[in-house]
Amino acid sequence: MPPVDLFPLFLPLTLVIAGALIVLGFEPFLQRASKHRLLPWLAAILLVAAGAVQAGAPTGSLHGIFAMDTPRLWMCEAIIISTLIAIGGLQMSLARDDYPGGEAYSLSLFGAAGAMLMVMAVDTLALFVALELMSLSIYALVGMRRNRRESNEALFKYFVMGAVFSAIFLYGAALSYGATGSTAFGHPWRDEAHRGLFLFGQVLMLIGLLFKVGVVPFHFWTADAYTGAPVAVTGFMGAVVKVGGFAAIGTLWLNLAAVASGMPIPGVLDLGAAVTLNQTGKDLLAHYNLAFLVLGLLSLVLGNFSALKQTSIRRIIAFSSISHAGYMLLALALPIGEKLQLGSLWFYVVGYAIATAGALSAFTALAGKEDINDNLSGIAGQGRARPFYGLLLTIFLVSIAGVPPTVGFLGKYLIFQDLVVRGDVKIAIFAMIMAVVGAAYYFRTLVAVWAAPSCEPAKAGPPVLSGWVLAGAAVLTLVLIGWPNALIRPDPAGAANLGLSAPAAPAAEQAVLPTGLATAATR
Amino acid sequence: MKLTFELLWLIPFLPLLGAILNGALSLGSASSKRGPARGLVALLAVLAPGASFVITVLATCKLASHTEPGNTALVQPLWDWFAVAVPGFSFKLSAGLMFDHLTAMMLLFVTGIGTLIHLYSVGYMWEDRGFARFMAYMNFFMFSMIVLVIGDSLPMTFVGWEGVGLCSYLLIGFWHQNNEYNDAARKAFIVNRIGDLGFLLGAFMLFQVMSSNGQGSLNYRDISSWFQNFANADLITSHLGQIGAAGLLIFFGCTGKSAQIPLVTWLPDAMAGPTPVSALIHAATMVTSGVYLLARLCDLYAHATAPVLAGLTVSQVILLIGCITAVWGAIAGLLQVDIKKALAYSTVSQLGYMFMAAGVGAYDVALFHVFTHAFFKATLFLGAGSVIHGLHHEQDMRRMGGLTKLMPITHLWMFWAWFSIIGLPILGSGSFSKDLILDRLFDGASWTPIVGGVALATALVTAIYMSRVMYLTFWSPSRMSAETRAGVHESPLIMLIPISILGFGSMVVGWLWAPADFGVSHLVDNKSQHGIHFFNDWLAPVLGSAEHFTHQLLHPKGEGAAAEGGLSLYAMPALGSLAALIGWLIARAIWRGGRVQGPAEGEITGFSASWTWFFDRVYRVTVVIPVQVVAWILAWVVDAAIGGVVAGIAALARFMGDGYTSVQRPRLRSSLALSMAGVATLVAVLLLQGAFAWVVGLLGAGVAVLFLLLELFF
Repeated sequence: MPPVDLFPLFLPLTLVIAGALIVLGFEPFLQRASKHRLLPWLAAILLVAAGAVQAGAPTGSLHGIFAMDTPRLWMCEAIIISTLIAIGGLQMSLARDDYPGGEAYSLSLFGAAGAMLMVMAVDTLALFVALELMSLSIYALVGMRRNRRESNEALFKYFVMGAVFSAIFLYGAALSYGATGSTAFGHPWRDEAHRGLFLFGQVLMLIGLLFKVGVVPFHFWTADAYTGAPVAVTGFMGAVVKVGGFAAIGTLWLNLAAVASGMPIPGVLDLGAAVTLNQTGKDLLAHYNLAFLVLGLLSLVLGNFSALKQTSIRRIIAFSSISHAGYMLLALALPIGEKLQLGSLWFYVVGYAIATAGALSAFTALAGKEDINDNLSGIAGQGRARPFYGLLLTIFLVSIAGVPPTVGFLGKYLIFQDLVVRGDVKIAIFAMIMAVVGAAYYFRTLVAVWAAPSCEPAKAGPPVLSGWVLAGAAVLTLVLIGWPNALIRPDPAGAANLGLSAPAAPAAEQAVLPTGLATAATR
Repeated sequence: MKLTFELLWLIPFLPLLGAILNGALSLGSASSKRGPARGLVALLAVLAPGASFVITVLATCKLASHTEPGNTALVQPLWDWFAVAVPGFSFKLSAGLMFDHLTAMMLLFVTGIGTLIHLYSVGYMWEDRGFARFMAYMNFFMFSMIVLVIGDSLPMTFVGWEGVGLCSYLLIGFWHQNNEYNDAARKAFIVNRIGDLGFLLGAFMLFQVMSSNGQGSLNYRDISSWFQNFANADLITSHLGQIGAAGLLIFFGCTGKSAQIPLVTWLPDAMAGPTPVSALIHAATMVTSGVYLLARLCDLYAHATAPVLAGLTVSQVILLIGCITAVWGAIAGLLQVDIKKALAYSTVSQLGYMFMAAGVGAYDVALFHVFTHAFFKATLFLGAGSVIHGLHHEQDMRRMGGLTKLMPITHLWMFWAWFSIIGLPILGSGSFSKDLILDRLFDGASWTPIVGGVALATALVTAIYMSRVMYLTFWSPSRMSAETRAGVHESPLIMLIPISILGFGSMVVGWLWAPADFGVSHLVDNKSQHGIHFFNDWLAPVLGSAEHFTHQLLHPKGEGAAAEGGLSLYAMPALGSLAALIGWLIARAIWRGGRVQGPAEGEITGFSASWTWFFDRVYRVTVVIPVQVVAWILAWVVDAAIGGVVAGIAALARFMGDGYTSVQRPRLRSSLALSMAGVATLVAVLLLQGAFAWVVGLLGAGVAVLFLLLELFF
């Protein structure tokens, strides 16, 4: 990877953090009512600016600590878009509850900055700092409703378990450092005597990250934390943590594969690139591969079947997020052939993030004061009362369920295709069956949303920001399916260098069909 | 040769934009009483296809300015649609537009006539509450039809093919308060879907044949060059059966869209839609897309020379089907009392002529008839619409008559369209194209001239039933009641302008190809070649190769190589005109007095009585009843079985869900302990080797279970 300057690489991040600080600085000087009128707009403006700048961000690596390439760029965009969606939802939710403070907007932006740093980090220490920045912001967001019992409970559980697994991650990082003499990813062990130590460290780091994305058996926090948080926050953490976590897992896994295959110290790996495996590497990683498959399948089964039982939408989404972590783990499986490439994972992560943030943000509009309608009988008929948000929720849930013509379908399709090409046909079929089981509870939710109304329609908040942002995200969900190959997934034929040379396609341009046509016309 | 033209995408896109905007206007005003601003809707709806027409003209000029020999086309790749790459098979499909000479000819009349009919619709539908919705559908139809014609591959055409089918459905059932109309719309859609199956299967089969030497493609230019490539001659010979089957299946799709036997029954019922719809979709454009597809795949049909059905080749099947349909449509047209239905059967019959021409390999003649037919049939339909409008939605010809003086302009242009369709010479474009078809039929081998004789006789019948329509509507004493007569009015200008332009067109467009030109071309310049050949010269780059191939098959020794067939140049025009004249005189003798039985008391008029009863019966026995039986079996046997299975699975899922949720521990210490047990197990399995790993792994699992038990019971 070519070196890149600090300023252009960090400009989007700087804008996000500047937004967080500005919001935090203004917050004490505003009336309670105008907090929710002004602050979200400030945050949104800076996020939009960050998104625009991010689209043109340079690719390359910064001193071997941070890196940027096409998949990373798209994941950063996904984080920014999800945060924008979450800010819209938060505005609606907090204004409706007449919440006394405006710190949530600032915390979301800090969390987004942490997740973006996680995406960019190629060094264990940088990754740890990013991880903590993200996690601490989200702990605070989860416990936002201080007077609610389940909110406190969720915060406490999440925080304690998070602290334990942060420690595990840090321990793994320390062991790896001891074995390699470097904090950077992609450094091989110093000599054969240190191999065991190195692998131990890597496994512990992996476990720390698997906890963050909620894979079985490290998933216990998910249901409580998702349910205790306000609905808008649930969407935000579901989206952003998954992107950051899987970006880090993917980075670690690609580097591990490269090191195990005896690649010379490679500098920084492009996430879109294909890593060439040799037999040694494959033998060494066969266990890991099996572990990914087993944990992935466990997550699928447990997530999907547990979600079937739930009546709270947030809990359904929590268990569904476990099952989606399962799909994403399956995408990490080693190939039969020579090259390991994670294109389908990146596509899935981006599509999932936007759809999840969108679904819960749209659900916020239907959830009523203090999310009182958060169960299947509470939302009965809310879609008819507020068809705009009902329709958006439908689009996003359909995408999460993986039904065409949405981006969620394409993500699943790509992962299943990868599994079939890798020879794991049985696993692909099993995962497809699990997707059908999953569809059951998404559609049960949708049936409830559009059923005959049974209670008072939810009171509306100031809808302007969330309406526009969500409509845009819904269009994105429907339109992204038009670029299955050009977007993130590099062409299998010329995979080796494509991640470096592929031009960064700006999100805003791809989102609108006529412009897309026009760019196609000029090609 | 491929050229690029950057504006090509605008041709389909502008009508799509119009459809979206009008759709939004329609939805946005759903709750208001009168609907959206009609002026705005009308402006958008007419401007969108109008602008497409202008761009089409520009593209045609650019195409015409390149005079290199060979098949030149303007192309515009849009995006990669999808790619399949599994070991041993890779296939990539790109969406793209292609504008060659055939596309240019089709698009010029599709967008041109389409724009005029949109203009007409503004007047015709102005008072309707669903005006904006109607215009949105019409614009969307234009979009689909343009995609059908401009797409560069079979899948792109299929997108348009389905789109026009959908619009046809939506527009036939536009007045959906009437359930009979809805039935008609459903019938059109379902019959078309049956045909679509043939289209798809044929396309797959064609792809498979071409894949036999690794050049599988669905792109039109690839298909025609594959068939034209001499290196593939052996491959074609060895796959003749499959090629014939592919051609037959695709032709089956065409019979659905173009209302040929056996899928003919939907078109007469489709007259339930508003009259502009009948003019645009069911006369001028959509129903001719079957002929377009045959011409587009002419290389396939030219090379499918093996018998596939009852000892006939695909082309012979097409010829016979076209002939039977033409005869049947003409006879059915003779017996209609509804003016639109008479025209609908006439369309069926004329489409039969086009397929006859395609069946003898004269694709350019078939397209020429498509072209002239679009003008005169659109004029007839618009004129009929004007009559219906003027008579306040009276469609029964038995209650008309004597309208010549009351609707002079409508009558004038209907007269010229009638002049054209029955085949009177010089000022009727229909005579040019129909006589060319007859000429090609008589020029053919073995039993083809017999078909030509039948076609000539059919021309006589055509003249009779069309004259009957004119006599009953215009040229006979009025049979209207006094108050109806007082209310009759000529249509507004906005409807008369399109009729006039199209009517004038139907007088003159025949001269684009006039082999027997009565010496006109010699006046212009004294060329050695006889006649005007602008139209077929224009299409020659696309169709020439296939036609040459067919011609060589028919005349292996080079006989009849002269430009225009075996019979004398003036024979066919003379015969055709004679048939028209005789038919007219017969009709005059019978109907000039307006002798026609009035509608019986209590007789249902409108859309119920239909002359498709024979085919409807056949379908009732062969399709509907079997489907109902299968449906019954599915409903009562399979459904119960599946229901049981589903209920079982659901019970299982609930049971499993119960089990799994009890793994979800409410207490922090137990969930933490379970997680740590997971960590220990994972680390052990990943890092330790052999039996030791199992021991530690089992230990971890054991600890987890122990915790669970403790948690549950204490």
